Amino acid sequence: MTHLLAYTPFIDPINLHRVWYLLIAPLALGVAMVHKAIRVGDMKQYPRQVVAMTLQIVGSMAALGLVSYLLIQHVIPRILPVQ
Amino acid sequence: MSQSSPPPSPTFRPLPLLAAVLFPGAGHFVAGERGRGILIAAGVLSLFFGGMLIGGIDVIDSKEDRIWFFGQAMVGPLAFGVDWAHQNKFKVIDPATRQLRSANPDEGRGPDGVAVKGGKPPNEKSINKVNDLGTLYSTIAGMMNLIVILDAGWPSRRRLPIAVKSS
Repeated sequence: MTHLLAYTPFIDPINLHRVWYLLIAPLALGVAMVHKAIRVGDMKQYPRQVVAMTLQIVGSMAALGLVSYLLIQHVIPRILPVQ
Repeated sequence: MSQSSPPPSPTFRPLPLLAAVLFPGAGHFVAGERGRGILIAAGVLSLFFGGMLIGGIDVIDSKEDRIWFFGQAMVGPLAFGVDWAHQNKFKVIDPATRQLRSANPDEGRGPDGVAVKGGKPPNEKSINKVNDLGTLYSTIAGMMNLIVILDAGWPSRRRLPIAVKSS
């Protein structure tokens, strides 16, 4: 409780240690906002393109995570079993 | 049969380049692309301050996280201002070494900036994933703004919708 009362936004860190992986979504959104603001010719397409790029980044990161998990937990132990 | 001429090559725009260095999105705003400039500012500033919201002011530190600060510095004078405030208003002077450092959890900051035992630290130091992500957010803000600065100075040919390209 004391910790919560002492919290000052932008000065103290936020307590998101348990759900840190969810922060990938706003990060991807920010990157897409800036990148598409430069690249999009017709600004009417901007919101759609930002959403698409955000989903592409989040989806790609999730897929990379899944591939890494499968590789480390299942594939490598079969190739090189622990003695 | 008419043959369309190739699009003109990018021309150098010094004033938008300077404005983009001074503030995110200002280069495009000055160049007349106001909507684009506002969206760029919203994106870059959201990432930069989002990083501070997650990891606190501790994530902007030119002394302890110098490599990361190289990226964050691309946001412009804003990043240097935040770093100045962090170094001079939040860090404490170690009584033994007279060097600036973050205050320990059981230390406060005296009126002369020297660490005093028993007080409350000016800021809480972020650790673990929260520190990593906060630092990453603010550094990516700088990296994205570098692309924006280059685009303001040497504008790229915008991607046109397929229907416009073919007509």
